[in-house]
Amino acid sequence: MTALALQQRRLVNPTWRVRFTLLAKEATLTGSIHPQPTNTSDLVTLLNAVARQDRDAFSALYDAISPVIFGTILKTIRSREHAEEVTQEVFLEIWRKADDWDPRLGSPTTWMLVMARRRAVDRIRREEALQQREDRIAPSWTDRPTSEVEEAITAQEDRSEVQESLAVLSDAQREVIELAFFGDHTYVEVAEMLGLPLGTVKTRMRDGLMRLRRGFGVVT
Amino acid sequence: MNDMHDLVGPYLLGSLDETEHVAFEAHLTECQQCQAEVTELEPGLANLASANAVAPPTNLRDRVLSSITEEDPVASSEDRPATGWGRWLLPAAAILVAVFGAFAIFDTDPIDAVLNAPDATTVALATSDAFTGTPPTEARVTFSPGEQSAVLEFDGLVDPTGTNVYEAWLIGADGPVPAGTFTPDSNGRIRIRLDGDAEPGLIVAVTEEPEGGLPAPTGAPLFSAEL
Repeated sequence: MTALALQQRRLVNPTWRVRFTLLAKEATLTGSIHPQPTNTSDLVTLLNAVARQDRDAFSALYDAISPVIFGTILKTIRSREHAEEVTQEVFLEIWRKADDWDPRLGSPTTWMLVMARRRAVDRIRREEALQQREDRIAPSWTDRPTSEVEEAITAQEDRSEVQESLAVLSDAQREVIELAFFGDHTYVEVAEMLGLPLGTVKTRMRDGLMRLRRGFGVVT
Repeated sequence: MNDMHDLVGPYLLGSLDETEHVAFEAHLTECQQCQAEVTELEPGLANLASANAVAPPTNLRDRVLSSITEEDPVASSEDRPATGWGRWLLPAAAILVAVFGAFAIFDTDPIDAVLNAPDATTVALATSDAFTGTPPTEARVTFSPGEQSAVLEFDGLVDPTGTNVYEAWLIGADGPVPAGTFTPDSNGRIRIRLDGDAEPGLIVAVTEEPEGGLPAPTGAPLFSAEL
C-alpha cells in the first residue's frame, strides 16, 4: 500500500482516529508507573469496530487493554509462560465474541477482565487435572516442573505489591479479595476456606470493590 | 437458594463457577438494579486491575495479531460481496464435494468414519510442561465408542527433534500400548486414526520417540486427554 493510500484509508476509518488518540495519550504517559485507564467511550468504539472484524481496531484495543489483562491473568496463574498463552486465548476470544458484548453486562473493560479471570481459572483447573492424570498414568515419567520454584519466588515478590494495592481495604475485605481475585477460588470456596457464611463473603467482596473505587491511597 | 442480586461482587471478581456465571449473566441483562450496581462497582475492579497491570512481552503482540490473521473470516462476511478468488471458491468447493462425495459412497475413509460417527465426542488435548516448543494451535482427539476408535488432530505442531517422531499411546489399567507414530506436515498439521481399540476411560498420550517408534514410552507425555 502506498503512503497516500494508507493515509486515505486512515482518513475514512474512525478506528484509526481512536487508535491515534490512544497512541498520543500513551506518548504523554511515559514515566507513569501504571497505565492510565483508557476512556470507556474509546473502548466502546473499539470493541464495536472489533465486532465488525476491524483488525486495526483490534490492535488498538490490544495496545490499550493488554497490560491489565496480562497482569490480571499473571496474578491468577503465576506462571509467566502460561499467562502469556491464556492472554493469547483471551484476545482470540475477544476477536471472535466482540459481537456478544452487551453494555448491560458491564463496561468493555469489565467484560474483558471477567473473561480473562475465567479463562485463567479454567487454565489452572486444566493443569491440575493434567497433573493428576500424569501422576496416575506413569509417576516415573513426571518430573516436577522446574518452574515451580521460580513461581514460588515470584509469588513471594508479588505479595508486597498486592498488599500495597489492597491497602485501602479492611483486613476482612482484603482476605476475600486476595483469595478470589489473586487465586483460582470461587466465592463459595473462599467461604469454605475461611469458615464464613456465603452472605458475608459476598458482602465483603462488594464492599471491598466499593472502597477500591476511590483508588489506593498509595503515595507514589 | 442463592439470591442473584448478591452476586455482583463475585461476578466482577470472576469468582463465580461456570454455571452461576451463565445464570448471573442472564439475570443481569434483565435486572436494572444489578446493572446499576455493576456500574457503581466496576471502577473498583478497573482500579484493582490497573494497579496490578504488567506490560506483556512485545512478541506476544505479534502472536496475538497473527492468530487473528489466520482466523477464517467467513463467519462474519455475510455483508461482503464475493470478489476475486472468493467468487470461485464456492463453486470449486461444490465440485470437490460432488467428486469426493461420490467416492465416499463406495469407500468410507476410516478417519471420517470416526469423525462423522453419531456418537463421536471431541476433547482438547492438554499440553504438559514437558512440551517446550510453541504450543500447537489445535490439539484434539475425537472418540467414537461405536467405532471403538479415536482420531488425533493437530494444527501448528512443531516438528519433533531431528529424526524423532511423535508416538501416540492408549493407556489403560495395563499401562501404555503403542497407538501409532506420526510427524506433522509442513504446516504442522496431522490427523491420524489411532491403532488399537479405544474405550471410554482410556487415556491418550503423545510422546516424542526415536524414528520408527518404540514399544514402550521413553519420552515424557507431551499431550494427553481422557476418552
